Amino acid sequence: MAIGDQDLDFKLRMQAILWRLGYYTRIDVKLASHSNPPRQERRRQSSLVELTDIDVLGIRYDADYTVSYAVADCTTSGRMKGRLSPVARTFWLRGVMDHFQADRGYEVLSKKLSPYEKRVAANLGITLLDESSLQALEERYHSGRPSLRIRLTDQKAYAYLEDNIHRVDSRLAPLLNYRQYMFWQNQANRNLFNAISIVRRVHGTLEPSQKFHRILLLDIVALFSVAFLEACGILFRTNPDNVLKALRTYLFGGPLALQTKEILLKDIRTLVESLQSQPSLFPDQEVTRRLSLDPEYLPALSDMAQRFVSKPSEARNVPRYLQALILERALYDGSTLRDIFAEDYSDITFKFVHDLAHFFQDATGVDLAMFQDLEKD
Amino acid sequence: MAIENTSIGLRAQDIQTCLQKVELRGLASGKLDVTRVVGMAERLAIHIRGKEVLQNDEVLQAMAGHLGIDSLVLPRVLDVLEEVGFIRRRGDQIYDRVPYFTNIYEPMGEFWQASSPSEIEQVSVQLLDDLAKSPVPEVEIRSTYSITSQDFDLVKRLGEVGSYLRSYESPTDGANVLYSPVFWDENPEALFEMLKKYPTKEIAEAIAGVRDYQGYPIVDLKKPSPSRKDLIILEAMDRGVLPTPSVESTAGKRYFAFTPYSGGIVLTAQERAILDKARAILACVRYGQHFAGVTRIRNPLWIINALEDRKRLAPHSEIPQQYFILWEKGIARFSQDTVHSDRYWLHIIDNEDNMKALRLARDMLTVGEAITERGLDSGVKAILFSGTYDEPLTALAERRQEMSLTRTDLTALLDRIIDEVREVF
Repeated sequence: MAIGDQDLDFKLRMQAILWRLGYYTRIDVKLASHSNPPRQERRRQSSLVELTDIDVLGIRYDADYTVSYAVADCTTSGRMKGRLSPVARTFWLRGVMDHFQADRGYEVLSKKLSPYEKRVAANLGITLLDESSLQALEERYHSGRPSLRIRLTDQKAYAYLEDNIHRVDSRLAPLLNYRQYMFWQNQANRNLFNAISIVRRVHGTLEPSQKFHRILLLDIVALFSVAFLEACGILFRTNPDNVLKALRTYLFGGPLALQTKEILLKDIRTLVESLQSQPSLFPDQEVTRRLSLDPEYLPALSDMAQRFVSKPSEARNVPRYLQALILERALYDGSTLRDIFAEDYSDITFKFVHDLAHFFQDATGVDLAMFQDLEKD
Repeated sequence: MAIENTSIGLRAQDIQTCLQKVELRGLASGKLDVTRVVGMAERLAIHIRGKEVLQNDEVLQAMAGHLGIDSLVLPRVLDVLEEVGFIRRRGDQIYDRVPYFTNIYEPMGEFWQASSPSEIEQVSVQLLDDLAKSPVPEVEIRSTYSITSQDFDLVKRLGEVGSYLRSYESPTDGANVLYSPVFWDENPEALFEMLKKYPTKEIAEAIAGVRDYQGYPIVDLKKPSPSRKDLIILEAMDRGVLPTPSVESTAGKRYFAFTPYSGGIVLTAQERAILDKARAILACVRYGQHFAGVTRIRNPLWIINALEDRKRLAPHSEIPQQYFILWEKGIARFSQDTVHSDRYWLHIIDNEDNMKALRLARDMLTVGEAITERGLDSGVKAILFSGTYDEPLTALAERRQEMSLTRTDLTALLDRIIDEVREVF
């Protein structure tokens, strides 16, 4: 097995373990930041600089919307990232865990590990795994359970998905960029707005007959669902009687930020109205419509939040349903969601996936046929 | 038709609820089909909201039966709900997409308009909406609708059999006055007396003003020359036509007028108590808006929202006086501020009735009548949400009131039978 393959093998196996534990999983999550361009290049857009990457990230919501993150770093000894020793990597991983407020961390290495190294990692809240202990972990979580009906450990499937998704029309680059970098960089409340905004901008390019266009959109919806569950968690904990108002406050960054934006918009409106010397340029209704803080989809988004907050046990698995849909129904004509989730399958969760698709269609203008893979189940 | 979609949706529900236990026969048969189906769809929508996934099975049929939706009509009602986007059918499952945060009556009214309702339906809906504002002399209203006298008689009879329309003969001039018991059930005679004194149009306008601004502040009685509209409202208040709770605080005692109807056709004692509380809440808030001494309320909706969300109002010196009736009615309590001893907090007593009253107050403030939980029967909803039903035959066994046939109906029916026998088309 080549070194790169072994890395991927570890990642996929860790992904499967986290999936078994109820996590929604992502592989190769990039943390990036905008760079400051040199003075002479200031007019150009700032570019993103990769800070680090996480091999496997797991996100899990409990029935009370408590979120847990798990991160895994998978490295073969021949390709130690940054030439760090296993112990040094655990310190690095601890930093990544702190960034995500992750409570579980796994360091998977191909080399045999000493008890000393394992003890240091354990003190940092990290499980250090070599080939044999990874196998032991797999057996622990797989034993007595039905076989995994989703191809999470299939390297070919992973490569088929990732290779092709990066070959989509270049006009869809903003979606790829969002998926790879922006989502992980944005604040959760901004992610809701941004997902809708970027899909809306490219909706005319998304072609329902193109399998990887559909998959890319489903993946964006899955990320959106992660951000949306975070919003629902806040609504759930604050127990609002008025979800519409509470969600609006959350979306705009809290009561103070909302107030600031409202005041700012009011001032802009006053300014624009006082400048209306060319009515054809600024018709009254157009000004009111354009200078509205609330996006037109806010009531529909609030409806969905009301449903998710009312049924957290069903809503929390929406990202996992989307992940399963991508791998088994869109990428291949494989297992049904009923097969994959077996006795845990919920009609309501699947309905929530439909609600999200329906919402996206209305909010972004994408063709309903972009979600045809939902109808295969 | 000069009637807004939301009003159409509301009146369709009123008509259907009133006709729920009536078997329309003869010439009336099929004359209100669009309106009734829309009304049924609205009632079903508010009962399934929150269920998320329903099975299209006998539990749904039983629940629908309780709402007067026969299993034969149910598929059509579901078609309507799917067409407006409130449900989506997928195999034998139904996905609930009834919105929480937008008014369901607006799209239903739009659907009704697009469904080419018959003239009988158009006049029935418009008439009921007109009568919501005030009773109207029959001669006057007949002339405003461009339908035949025969058709207008049918509209009247449909309303009478559904008990949403009645007529009253004025003892002074013998004129026939049409009114709707749905809106003027409690004291119609007093209103008829007013009709002798003021033109119908003026009364309708004055009452429409109250409906559009529930908790209408009654003008200072000592004011030298009140407007004609205020005079009418004052007299309606004196005669007990309009409920007018009072609030007494720093600016003295003030009265606030409400229309008698709030958007619920069958008001039980508990519902009446909630309505009474909602009016009290709105009256207190209107006092702060119009007469407060220290700081006036700029937007009453903000106060209602704060009471709903935070269950309290920030400390203010006028709170104990201005909101005293809320304490009397068990809606709120007060607590002294620890920093400023002359200021008091208001805390809402958080129970189901008070929360319903706040929601109703918000609807009255924004729409003029109940929208949020209008026509919701929690017992019927429980059939669907518990997934069980003990008495599935109750709805079927419920005896329907039959509409008696008139001579005209019978003649028409016989003519139709003869035509059918003769195969005349």
